[in-house]
Amino acid sequence: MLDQGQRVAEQLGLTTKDRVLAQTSFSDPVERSLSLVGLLQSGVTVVIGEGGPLAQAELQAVQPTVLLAAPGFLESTAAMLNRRIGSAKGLRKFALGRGWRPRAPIQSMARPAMISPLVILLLLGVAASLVWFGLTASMEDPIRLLGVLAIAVLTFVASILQGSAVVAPIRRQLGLNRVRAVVSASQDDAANMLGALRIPLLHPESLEGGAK
Amino acid sequence: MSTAPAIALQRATAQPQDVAVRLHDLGVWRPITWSVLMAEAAEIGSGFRSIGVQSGDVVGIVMTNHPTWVAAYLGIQGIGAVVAPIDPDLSSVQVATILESCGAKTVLCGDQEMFDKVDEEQQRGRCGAIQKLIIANTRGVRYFDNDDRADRDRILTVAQLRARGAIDGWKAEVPKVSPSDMQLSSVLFEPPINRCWIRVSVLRNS
Repeated sequence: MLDQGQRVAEQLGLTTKDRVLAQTSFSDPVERSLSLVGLLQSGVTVVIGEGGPLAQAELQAVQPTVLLAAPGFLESTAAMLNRRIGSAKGLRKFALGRGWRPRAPIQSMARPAMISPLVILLLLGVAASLVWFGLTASMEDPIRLLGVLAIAVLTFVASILQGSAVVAPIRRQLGLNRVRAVVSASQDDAANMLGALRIPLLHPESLEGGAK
Repeated sequence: MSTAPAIALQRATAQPQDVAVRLHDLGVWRPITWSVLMAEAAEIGSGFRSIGVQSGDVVGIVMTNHPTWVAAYLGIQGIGAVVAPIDPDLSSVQVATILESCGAKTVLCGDQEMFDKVDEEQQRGRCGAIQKLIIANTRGVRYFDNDDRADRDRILTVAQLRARGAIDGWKAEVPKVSPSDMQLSSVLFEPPINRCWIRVSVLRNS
């Protein structure tokens, strides 16, 4: 039992700094071994929520690093998110339309970067241009000023197209911005939502391995 | 190699005031430290011993997530008994099937709803091996309306169980549990649930 739990903890890389929010039942073997090993060996704090209608608020309040989520909760969250995206208007609708792309779930702990190398290069370009502009130009040189502004706008648009300007706020709104991994048997919409949020989704059976 | 209650005891000794579990209860976040958690585990574990639970006996837990769940889990393991955790959302028939399959003689129920599932099936003649029912939250349980009831030794509350417990006695028992002892009896329903296919898993401490 401890060996199995140890393997689960190692796969998730649990440390004393982690905070585990347990929304699935302790009667589930993975939940139990994970929670207990977290408690016993890694020394993490396990947070037991009331769940149900309070689940979303608890997620916001706890800000967990590892979430053990009931599939129903993730599915209702995905449905709520899709409704909100569908009802967006104006600039928000434009940004969501460009930046929100349901993706296949990430099934390992290797979390992809939120900002692509292209956007980082553009940001560096903006910073360098601003320094250069501050050192060499004056407000009487509108062409250079427009050039720097154009690069800044380009960076913003690129980040929207790449998704980071859209994904990060959604993660914050859902209380998922600190989450390193979600353990759940969720599939379809909920799994695609986590993929789009760049949050690894680990299936309980893949964590259990052959220890059952 | 060690056991879960032994590791938990070490942690409670080394960092007694650290938060082990945080519970959201009626809108309030309640921190539970290692010392409090393990004191509850010791009282519950030794309480089970005082009502006749022996090493190797199976104790069912039908309860939603709660610090008492964790304390009971560690307490029961600390006396060498075997835990059979049961999903509280299962139907009474499924709960009874699991309890019968694992041969539980004692069952810890979270509240009235879970207690009724076990009690109803016992009234129907199932789960005959169960000798003791323990309830964590007695609100709404009709048995406790009458202090002179005949089954007062069969149905107990967790508070009564803890009052019978002896923390030092439990701590002395924990090192005697071997990592190779059976620690968990888990029965999982697999689809199709309506045919009651079940899979029995037995895990040892190590």
